Amino acid sequence: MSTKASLLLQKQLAHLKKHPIEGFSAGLIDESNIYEWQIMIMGPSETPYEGGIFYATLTFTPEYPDKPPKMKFTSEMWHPNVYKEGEVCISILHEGEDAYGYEKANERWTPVHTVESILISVISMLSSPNDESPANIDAAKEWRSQREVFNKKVQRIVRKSQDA
Amino acid sequence: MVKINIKSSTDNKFDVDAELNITVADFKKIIAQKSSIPADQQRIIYSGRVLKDHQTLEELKIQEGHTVHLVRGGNSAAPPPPQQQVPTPNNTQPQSIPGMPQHINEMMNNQMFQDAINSPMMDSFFENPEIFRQMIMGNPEMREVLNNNPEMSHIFNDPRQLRQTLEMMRNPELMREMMRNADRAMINIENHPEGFNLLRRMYTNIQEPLMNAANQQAMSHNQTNSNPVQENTGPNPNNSPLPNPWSSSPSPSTTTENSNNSTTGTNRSPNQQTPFPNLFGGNRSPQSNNGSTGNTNSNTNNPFGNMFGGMGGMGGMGGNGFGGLSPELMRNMMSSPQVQEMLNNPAMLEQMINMNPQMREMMESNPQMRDMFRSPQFMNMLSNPDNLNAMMQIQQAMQTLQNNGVSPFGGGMGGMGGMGNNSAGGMGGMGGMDPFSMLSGMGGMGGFGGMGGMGGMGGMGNNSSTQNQEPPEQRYSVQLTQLEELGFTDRAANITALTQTNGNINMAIDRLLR
Repeated sequence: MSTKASLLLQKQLAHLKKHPIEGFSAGLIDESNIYEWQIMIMGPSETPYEGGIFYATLTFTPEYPDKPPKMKFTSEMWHPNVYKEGEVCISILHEGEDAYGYEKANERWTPVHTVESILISVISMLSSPNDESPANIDAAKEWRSQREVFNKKVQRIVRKSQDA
Repeated sequence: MVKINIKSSTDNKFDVDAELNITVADFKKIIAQKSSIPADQQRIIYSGRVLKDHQTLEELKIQEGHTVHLVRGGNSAAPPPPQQQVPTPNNTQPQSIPGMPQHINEMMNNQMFQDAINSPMMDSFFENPEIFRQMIMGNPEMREVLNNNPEMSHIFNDPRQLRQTLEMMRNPELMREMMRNADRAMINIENHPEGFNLLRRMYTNIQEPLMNAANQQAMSHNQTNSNPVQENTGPNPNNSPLPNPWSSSPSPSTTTENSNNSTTGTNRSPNQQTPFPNLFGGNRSPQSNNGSTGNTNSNTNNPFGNMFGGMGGMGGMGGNGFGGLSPELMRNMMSSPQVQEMLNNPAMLEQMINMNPQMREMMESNPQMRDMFRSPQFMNMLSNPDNLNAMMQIQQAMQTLQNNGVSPFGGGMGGMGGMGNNSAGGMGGMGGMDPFSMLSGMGGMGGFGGMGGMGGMGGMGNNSSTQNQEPPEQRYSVQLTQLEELGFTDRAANITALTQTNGNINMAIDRLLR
């Protein structure tokens, strides 16, 4: 039901404008489209991402909250769980059973998730990558065995994000 | 000057006052006075974006009370645990109005009723005199009545009048005030030497033709299955041009010629009154006495008929909602031994009536009515299944009428609705069978004008009384499930919100997010 989705998203948007959560900021890309959100994530401190200002989009469907939105970094991102094209791959944005058995059903999408809970998961993903089901295999390999190289690359994208 | 909250990575949270026409660069200078971050190192983040210095706050749609993030360029904060906004509901119990029969109070607090009158559709409906006009003008008889009585058309055409009626229904205090005024007004009219005649004239000039118009429409509907109000909506007459917010599911029009008979039967009843109470009687003030087109009951002490005619219409529609759905149930109930016993036992009926002071007063001041209640014919009429069938058919006819958008003149329908509500009350067991719903049935049968309208309300309240006996968890179980699906997991808060909003899920969400 599309009215339910847009109603719910509108409420969340209004709420976030008044009571934003530390670590990210959210708004609409185009004020007339409630389904396309502009997200800005501040790189969590004490991680290589600290100081970074990363842009992402959150794309909902009218089936929300029955179906999860898609999240995609538009800023450059280097992370085991983010595809090189920017798409975020975390369990709570996935529906149903995981065909590969990596993710337990209770960690996957449920309709209780909000923009807030999704972004808290993403921020926590930045702090602690999950290398069991990597989206960016190169980043995962570096993170596992060449942490120095990994951190250097991340610091570079952080600087880039600050310049943008 | 508006207050804008700043959530800073280094200075926690503070607020600044700023004009909305300043640029982000100026805004940073204001922030710098309160922050350890100098303006040139600040990054202001709002709505998912880092704000650019040349933009103004207005352009960015920043508003009073909004919060922006502040970070130092190249520095950032650790995300603290997310803050959960705990809603602080103000505990408003449903208000009851002293001096009003319990059922009316209950109806006023009834979830469906409140939902209905609070719904935006209602708002737009009342905001739009065009809809009313169309509905009225669609009926030639109705049009004639209005042409002959310009003051009537004024009522129908004036959105303020309609709005006032609606406001009254929303606000129990106001309602009580109106009741008192209207009551007084009626007494004043009656005491005036010409007053009674005036009322009588009003009845013949306005009410009767109005009722005839309504009846004729019902009949023509039965016969041709077409509705003059919506000729142009195609072959299917029941396309519900105006969704009836009270009707949980529009039932098909299964009216037969029988209802014609019963309609006339209604008119022939001992106390020959129209089942068409004053829809707008409620907002009549003492100064506009002669505008009261409603209750022309020869005894105008009927405490509610006039001022609640409009409400009756509402109740009637409500009655259609649950009552009209179950003719079978209705029949079963009426033929149940208990009801039969009650109907065959005038003493019992009278006792029930006497239990209610308002009712008693009415009976005392209206011997005719008392006689009617006592008369065996009336009892027979009530207990005769054929009559019941006929009544059900009237109701269905009315429902069809309402589905086709004629509902706002629903006084008479109020009576019918009352009948339907009887069955709803019956659902709740004999406990639900009270003087008011009884009377509502009679309102339908005897065509007690205003009383018919009352009946609708009685029935409505009746249903709510059976509903309200359930704990809120059960009453709002559907909404609770929905809320949980929507991600509101605090069950206690959900229940509180739903109770406060009478089960209106949108309003409950509003509260939960506040």
